[in-house]
Amino acid sequence: MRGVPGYVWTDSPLHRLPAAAKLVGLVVCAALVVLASSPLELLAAAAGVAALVAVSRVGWRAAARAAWGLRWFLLMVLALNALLFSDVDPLFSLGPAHLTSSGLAQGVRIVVRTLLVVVLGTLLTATTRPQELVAGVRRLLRPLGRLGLPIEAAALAVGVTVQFVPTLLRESRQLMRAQEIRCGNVATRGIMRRAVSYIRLLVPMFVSAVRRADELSVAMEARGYRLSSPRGSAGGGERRKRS
Amino acid sequence: MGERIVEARDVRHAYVPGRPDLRGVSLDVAPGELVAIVGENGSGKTTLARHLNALIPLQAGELLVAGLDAADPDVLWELRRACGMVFQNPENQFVSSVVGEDVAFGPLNFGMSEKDARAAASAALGAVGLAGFERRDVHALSGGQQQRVALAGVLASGPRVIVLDEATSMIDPQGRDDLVRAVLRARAERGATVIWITHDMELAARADRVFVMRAGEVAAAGAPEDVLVDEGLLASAGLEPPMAARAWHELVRLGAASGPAPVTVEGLVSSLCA
Repeated sequence: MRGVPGYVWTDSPLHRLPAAAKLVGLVVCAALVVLASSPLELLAAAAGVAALVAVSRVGWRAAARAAWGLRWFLLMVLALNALLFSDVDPLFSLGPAHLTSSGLAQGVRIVVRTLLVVVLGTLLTATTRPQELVAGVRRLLRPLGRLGLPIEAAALAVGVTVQFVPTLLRESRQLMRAQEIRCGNVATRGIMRRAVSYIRLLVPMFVSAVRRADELSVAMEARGYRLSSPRGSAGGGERRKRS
Repeated sequence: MGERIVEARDVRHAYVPGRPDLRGVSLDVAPGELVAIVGENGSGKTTLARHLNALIPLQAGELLVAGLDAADPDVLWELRRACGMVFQNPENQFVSSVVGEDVAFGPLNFGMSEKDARAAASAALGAVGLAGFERRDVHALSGGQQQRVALAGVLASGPRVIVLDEATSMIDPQGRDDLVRAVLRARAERGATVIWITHDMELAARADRVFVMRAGEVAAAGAPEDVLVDEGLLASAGLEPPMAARAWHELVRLGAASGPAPVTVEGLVSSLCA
């Protein structure tokens, strides 16, 4: 699936690390990346992420795939920041837009931070199988279970969300293609008409996601899933057989 | 009929009060039998199938599956283990993107240890012709392979009854044939009872018995050779006979053939060569 790298079957220290530790590590690393602001700090963060990619043995291409999928969005973020962040000492002006060095620096900062966080997230899913991820979330949330929070449901929701993403992405691409066939290529239109076209896709996407979620919940029930009993333990009432 | 693994007596159900979807369905299925339930959309096939797995609570009537009362909430999970279900869209059945983990989902829910669940998953994948697929990404498989993974997910829990709810309707002919072979193999090797909900009359023709659903009722039941050749009955249920029976009826109209209509291509060939 383009843009959504799955698990990469290889052996590495990152693969062997418990999922809960990787989840905590992701939060800590993402916080450090977000806090990095000077070029030196960003460079150090990028070097750290690159080292993690090397250690993970998932390959540079797999690690960068999700980030590459965001290239147009990130370019837009860079352009908006470069042109709208400040109007002091502009390098170039066009109406309300002013290209400034401070705006450019801010844009680069945000883009680099986003890229690094996306690569970190990719590393998590590339080195952690969905069920390990579910187990990791369950383990991290366990203390909250004492407060009555539905830990099992939350953990499974994470796993199911991860595995549903490729399906929903493919479906959104199919809907976009269907729209192009009937209404022409939306990419060639003005920005407002393009925005309206994308908004129109939200309704069928939402309906489809709800339908899929409903079908999945039925299939899970049929396969014995229940919230009230821990998995892997014998359950069910005493067999009542009738002739 | 002697021993029964499914016994339904006057099963009634309405999603909306006053608009019944099942109007008193009664049917019996023997252990090891291959049964097809056919009917047009909205005839109540899926509603009936979901009763068999206790996915829909019984509103009225009596339903026993593998000796377990579908109306008894205390045996709900045992019933679901005894009666596995494969649905129409394979992609909407997966809880994990890794084949082995998805197949082990059911056994783990039914209380198997992780080691046993993994072993059961591997055995079930072997049974459906997907040995060694444990580490594959389900999204990278063909529709037919995905549906066989879904079947393996059911087989891994060791059900006595397998219900397939239009399981071939979203896959290509090759995938359909592979799935049919896998189901027939599971039936032969494990002695499982198979209940196939389908629109596919060629598939229904291979069953031991066929039930025709019409407007929430069983309109007819019997051997495929008796039920699937009745053009009037099938037309009233929004169906048409299998290709072999249609061809035979045309030959009879042209005066080129006589006698009972065959329902399979093999039957047609032997009737023509006789």
